Amino acid sequence: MRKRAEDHLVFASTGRSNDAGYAVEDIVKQISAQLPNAKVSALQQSVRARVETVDRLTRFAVAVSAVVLVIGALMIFTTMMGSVVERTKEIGVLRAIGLRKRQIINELMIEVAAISTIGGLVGWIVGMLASWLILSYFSQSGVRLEFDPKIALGAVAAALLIGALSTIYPAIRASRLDPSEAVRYV
Amino acid sequence: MSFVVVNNIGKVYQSNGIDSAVRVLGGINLEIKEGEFVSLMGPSGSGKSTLLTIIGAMNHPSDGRVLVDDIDVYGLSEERRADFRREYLGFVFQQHHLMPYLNTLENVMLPLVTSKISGKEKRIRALAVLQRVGLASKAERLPNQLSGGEQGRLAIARALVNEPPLILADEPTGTLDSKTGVEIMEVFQQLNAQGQTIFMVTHNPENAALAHRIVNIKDGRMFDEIDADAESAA
Repeated sequence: MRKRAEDHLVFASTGRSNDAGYAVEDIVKQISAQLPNAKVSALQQSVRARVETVDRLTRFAVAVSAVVLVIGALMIFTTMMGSVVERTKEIGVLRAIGLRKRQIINELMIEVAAISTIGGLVGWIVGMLASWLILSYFSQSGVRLEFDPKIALGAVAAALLIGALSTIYPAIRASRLDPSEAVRYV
Repeated sequence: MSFVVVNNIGKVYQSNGIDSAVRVLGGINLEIKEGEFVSLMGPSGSGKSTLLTIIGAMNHPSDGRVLVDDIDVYGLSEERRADFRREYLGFVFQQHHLMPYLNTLENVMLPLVTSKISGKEKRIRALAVLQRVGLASKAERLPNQLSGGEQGRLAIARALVNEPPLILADEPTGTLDSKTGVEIMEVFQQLNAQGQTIFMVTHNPENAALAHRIVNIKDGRMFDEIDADAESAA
């Protein structure tokens, strides 16, 4: 005799008790009792389980993104601190020829804003391409990648914000360099 | 009437508290008239560059006052002092400190970055200054495509573009060979002949002798002043 594989029976329900006063869970129990080899579940429960799984994945993705943002911010901060040290002489010359502290800060912030905008855009494009590749490779359920301009704008805005926040301290530090010392910096 | 008045200037550096205070300048008095070319000489560590940066509104003295065009330089706020440097001073550094990623013209335009004049006007002014130092034909070149002498002339052009009344030069021929050094000193002499006031720190007695007056400094104190013009006349 051929051993039957375990069947999985799913049925739809409004989720409310029926006229006879049976709840969906009672119906599931009754059918399960009649079909011991089948795994019985209500469609509502299946959908809820899927939604919960997607929610959990979304929360995980948000947490990973937050960690990536913090790491990105720290990398920009250390890069800018290094850049200020590397450009000590240049900043000293700019101060010596009469640029105000505010102008030094503006110069660095404009530079970071330009780099962050390009970085945000490139990041979004690479992210979309990677998602498209991964979806076409792994997904067999016909999930489509949606183009959402809000995500593009959000990526650029987030990159700008993180870039600006990470550069405030290095820029202030640069503006406070003593020009007479800075031009002698080796 | 003197254009620059250095009145009893002293400078003490404190690196690790009062115990390690080092006095590098004391009791310096100096006057520079408009259109004068003054050289400052002295051995290494004598305080020459410190005095230059104090006159250059970049290094607050511990004692005394610096007046330029009757403006008490260190009575100004730090930001007003930056404006003062832009309007009154042109710096020529020993290492030139040119921006390697900017071409010749852009390097000269750098002090005009905060100026309210149009971009076209900035280019015209920068090109006119490059013409004065003989670099107009190399306006598009990067500093590393210029010879040492040309880099020195470019540094002078950058110092001149704001038309500052006073040029401060810190050993402008210090990194150059003697022939190129002569070339740079000729530019300074031409500028001075056109009425430019110049204060130059140098180690080189021959270059110093090209000025109207030589001020000698040793151990942070002035010990000698020579009227180079009178000496050469004698």
